Amino acid sequence: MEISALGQLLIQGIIQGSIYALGAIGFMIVYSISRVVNFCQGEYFMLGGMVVATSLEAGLPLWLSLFLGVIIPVFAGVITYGVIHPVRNASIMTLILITFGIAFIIRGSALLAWGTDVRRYAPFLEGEPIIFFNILVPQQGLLILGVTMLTLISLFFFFQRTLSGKAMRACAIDRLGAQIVGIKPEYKNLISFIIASLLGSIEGIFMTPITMASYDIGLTIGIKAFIAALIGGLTNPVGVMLGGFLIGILEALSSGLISSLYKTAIVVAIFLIVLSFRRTGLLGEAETGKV
Amino acid sequence: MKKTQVLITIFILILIIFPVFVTSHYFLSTLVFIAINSIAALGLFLLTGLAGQISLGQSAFFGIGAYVYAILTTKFNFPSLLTLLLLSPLGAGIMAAITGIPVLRFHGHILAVATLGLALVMYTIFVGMVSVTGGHAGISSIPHLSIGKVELNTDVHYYYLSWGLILLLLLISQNIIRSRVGRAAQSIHHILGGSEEAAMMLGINPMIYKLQMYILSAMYAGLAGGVYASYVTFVNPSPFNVLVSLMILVIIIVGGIGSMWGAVIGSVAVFLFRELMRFAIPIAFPTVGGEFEIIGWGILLIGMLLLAPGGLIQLPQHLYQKLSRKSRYK
Repeated sequence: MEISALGQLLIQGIIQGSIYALGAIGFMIVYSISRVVNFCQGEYFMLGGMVVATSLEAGLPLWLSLFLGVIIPVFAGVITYGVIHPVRNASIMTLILITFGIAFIIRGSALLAWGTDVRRYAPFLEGEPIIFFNILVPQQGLLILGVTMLTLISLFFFFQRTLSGKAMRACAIDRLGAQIVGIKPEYKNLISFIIASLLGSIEGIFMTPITMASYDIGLTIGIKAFIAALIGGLTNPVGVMLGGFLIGILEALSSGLISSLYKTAIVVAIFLIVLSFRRTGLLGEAETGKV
Repeated sequence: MKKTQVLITIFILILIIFPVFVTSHYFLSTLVFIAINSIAALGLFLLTGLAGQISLGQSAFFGIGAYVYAILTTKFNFPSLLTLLLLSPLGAGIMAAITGIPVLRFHGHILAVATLGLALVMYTIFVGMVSVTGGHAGISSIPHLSIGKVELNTDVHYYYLSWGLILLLLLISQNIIRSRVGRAAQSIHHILGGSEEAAMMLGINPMIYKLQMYILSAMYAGLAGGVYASYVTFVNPSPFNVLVSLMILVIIIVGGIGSMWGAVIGSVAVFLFRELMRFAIPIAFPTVGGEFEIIGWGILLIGMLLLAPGGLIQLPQHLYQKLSRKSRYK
């Protein structure tokens, strides 16, 4: 295999991985603040792409389509929060099943609204792919990487520099302690769901021109993003982000070098191997003896 | 006779005389599919209800059972009875034994995703290994089950076969629940008040019992898959996608995770609800197609978990308690 072909696969993997990275960060934010694994994460991705596709088809201007493509998934995120809120202290199994239930409802409603057709729209940046060292990079791919970086930087800024973000980190570290100093964890839970659905919608909007969208893509993307989060170590932001890129690169390499049929199998195998040896993921904190 | 024994006797009598009155293909085939799902759900009950381990991999074992029956009877002319009763469950069980050792060391949401991952992988294998499974086109003209010289080729035959198998499996499950293995498995179920640490203190190795229940649950699903393949006489990957795993979990949650009867009751309830959705939704959305009934599963699942966490089987008790509590405050 030539170096340039390998580089091509790597670039594809990094672009695909940025979806998983943002999705995994969505999982991480919701999990570390409200202790819920929200399996609707992939559905927000699907909603973002589908809403933009429909509104562009309907002839709405780009800015309005983008606005709708963000606002509808965020609305779905708020509903998810509203359903989970009354039972937030239930067992892990109940919470997992409730988020799956909401994901079913979103998926089924998408089917009713859009049918089984596959949708896509023209990339926001059209034109010739840019060539670096014999590697073709589509302009939309560069845009996705740029948007991902921008999102990650603004998240970093939000959590490190703003009062609201610091309060959310406090909730993640110690819920009771945060309550004592006057932070309302319930309100922070809501914000965590909003951020997660926002991340989902952003990836969906920018990725759909490349990967296409249909009502049933959410589950697989959600699962892979969660696998990425677990590999990286569910509560470590850097690990989770790297986990996302790792999954993307693994998928691209395995579909390029072996067969695209087995990319899921390879991702799951790597997940089982990593988690068998390090229960808390690659960069997660080592588990202390919990009784 | 105790009340439950009377209820069970009535249930069995109704099952036996049902086909005498109802002969429509639609009803009988729906009942066969309910029975097939009940068998797979009963298996999941042993793992999730008894040992408290969530699994979203049941569709993989269901599929393995179906493909084992399909491949062995069409390509190798194996006797159908032997394949259905022995080899289909065995194939699924062997797969469970191999995958169980790495997967069952996880708990909670990691276990859920690991089992769901297995189901995804098995689905891609069903689609991808075209030389063995026929890919999307699947395997057709699978022989029906034949016992001796008698070929089971009508809905009534399969009705009696599948519901007979359920009664048999309920009896086996009852014995498992009351055996040493079953009680050891219950000791690690944290919702029932057990814990793995406490079980270990008593000299119970949780891994062994979890693995046993996992293999058993896979064998039940494998049997269900074998019955499915022999009844439909055609298999392709689509009935074994990951949503089916979720549906089987929905069945035991809706029916009631605390009792093996929950698997049967839940299966009936989920199918009734599905038929209702299939009837009602096209009136409002005439052009719709595909698996829109998943909305119904979502509503059913969330509704049950929020309003009646014990499932349908505990619903009368639950309502009674609620009502009597209200009257006390009046």
